Amino acid sequence: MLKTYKDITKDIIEHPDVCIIGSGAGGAVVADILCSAGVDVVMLEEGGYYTKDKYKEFNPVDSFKYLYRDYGATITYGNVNIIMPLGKAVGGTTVVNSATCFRTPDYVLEDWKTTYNVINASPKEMETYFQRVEKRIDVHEVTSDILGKNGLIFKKGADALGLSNGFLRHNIVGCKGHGRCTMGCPIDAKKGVHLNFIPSALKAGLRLYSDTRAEQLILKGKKIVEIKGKIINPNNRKEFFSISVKPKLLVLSAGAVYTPYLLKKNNINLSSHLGKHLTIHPAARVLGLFDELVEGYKGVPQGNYVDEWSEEGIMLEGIFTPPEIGLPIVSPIGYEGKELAMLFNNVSAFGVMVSDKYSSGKVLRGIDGMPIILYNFKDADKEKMIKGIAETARIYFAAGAKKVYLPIHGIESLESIDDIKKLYTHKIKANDIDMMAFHPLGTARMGEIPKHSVVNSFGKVHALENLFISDGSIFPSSLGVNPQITIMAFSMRNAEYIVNNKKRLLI
Amino acid sequence: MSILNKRLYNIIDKMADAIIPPGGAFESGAADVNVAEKLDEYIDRMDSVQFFLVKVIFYLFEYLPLITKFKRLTKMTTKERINYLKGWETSRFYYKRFLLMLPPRILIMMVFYKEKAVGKEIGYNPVPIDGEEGTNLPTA
Repeated sequence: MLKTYKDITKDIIEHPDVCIIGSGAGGAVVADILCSAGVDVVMLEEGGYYTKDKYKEFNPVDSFKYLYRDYGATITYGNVNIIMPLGKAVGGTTVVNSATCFRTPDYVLEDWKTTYNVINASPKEMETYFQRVEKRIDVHEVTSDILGKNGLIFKKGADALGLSNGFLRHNIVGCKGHGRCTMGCPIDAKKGVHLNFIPSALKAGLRLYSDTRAEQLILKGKKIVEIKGKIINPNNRKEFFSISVKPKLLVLSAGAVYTPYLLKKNNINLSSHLGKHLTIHPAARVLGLFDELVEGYKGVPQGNYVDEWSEEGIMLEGIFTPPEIGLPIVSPIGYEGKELAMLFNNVSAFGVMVSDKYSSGKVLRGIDGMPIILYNFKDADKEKMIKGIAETARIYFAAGAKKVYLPIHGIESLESIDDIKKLYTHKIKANDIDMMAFHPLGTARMGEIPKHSVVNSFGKVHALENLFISDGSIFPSSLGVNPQITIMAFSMRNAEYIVNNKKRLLI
Repeated sequence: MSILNKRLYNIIDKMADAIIPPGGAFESGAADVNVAEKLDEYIDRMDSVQFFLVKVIFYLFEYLPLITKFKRLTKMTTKERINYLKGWETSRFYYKRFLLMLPPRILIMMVFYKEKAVGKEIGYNPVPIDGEEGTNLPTA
């Protein structure tokens, strides 16, 4: 059963076995596993429920209004401010991500074991979960017929330089290259969890309330005994009915920003590590201008990668957005901006993403329903970003670009490959680089030692008896790759732990 | 329902006229698409804190020029406005560029380039979406 704000006619009271907050990559998987095992589950999702019929009506710009928090302008504050768009809808960020699917790198899993004391999560032990998730969400390698010119041009440059590169694996079937993965796929080709795990959970008895914001977590002793929330009309933001859920167990899957925020807002201080160790995978976009027609908005926006420097924590991945989203971000004002707009069909775009090994942030309680997210981008990671930008420019020139546009204040463009050295001779501060980020992780990290972690290796909060966390906040360090498969696989594993121990946990 | 007042409409229209002036590489400018009205419709779901900050930024741009240019933004010519805003966009002070200039630029350009007629002018030619039925989730 799925109820939106339109279906609610009175205050709601529920007494399920389990309440899940958040319907994204983590929550959806947990819901499906639990419901399929006969557990009675209620799920609360702050965002709305939209189908592909609605996405078709959207202009891409409208997606920020309906499918993202804060109109896509969630910001981290620090030595550089980074825009970090967060999805908010049934299906969470899987509705608006780029569909890229990577397993957790083996060296990351091994590091979690040795450094953070995470057990039963070795590459061999996680293999079955990766396989099952990939099968459920239809993961395939992108093919060249839907890659689009944007990706093909970059591949040409990477191949010319002999760099390690390939096609990305995606959870897409039947893609027609509309280029709108990050705005809600208008033909349901991208298999976000709202198309697989959520429908399956609903069939198995899940009661999902969308447009419902969880606000209060009532703690009694070492148990959360009640969750209070409001049903909100998203058109006027008015709260018009309330909901009370009294579960035996709560699973928080609201993401690495809103999971710790909800706990802190309710003065539930589980650990000194709660809200800390935030990593975000800062990313920057480089554009190449070509004589040939590119029309980068046709094809898969993020279809291929260059992993030549992945061991240094630098990944290059394609990214292209339609002009109504791309131009406002890169275009200068005035007549210069209009000239760039007329060149939009001849521009290719690729992204640099760095694994923030040295940088980190924290989520603070904030004011009036909005958390404050702090993040400092350290010099060691900045150097990686600069290198990534330089190498992307080199690839573009190798592909035949006549000009390369950079996201760096003071070095806005390069006219030739020789100009690349400016990136190493100019002093570039962190806030000279225009960056975005899409993968907040780490704010409720897992581990077997309570002093050094918030949850155990299966997501159970050390400090409380009936609280689990199952989303990107549990990962102790930066992944270096897109996280949706990792989130789903660990959530599957955590949910099975709950099922296998339900006699003890659901009392 | 309008959530911006007349004064803000005027400020937004004038700022937009500088951010996307008429003529140049293609004919249309912000004045051709009623940017303020379109922005008013677009931001109707903003929460109160974000909406307050957006309004403050627009008012700052209207009154700050009194300090250095001795006139409000809406009283400048288009050329003067372009030059003034360019100064903010290229400022060596990070917060001028990011926190103050970037939000209005992004909002105004988004509602401008969202217009189908503008897309056609710049040659935007997306893959058409054919009329298929959606796969709805079972609802109550």
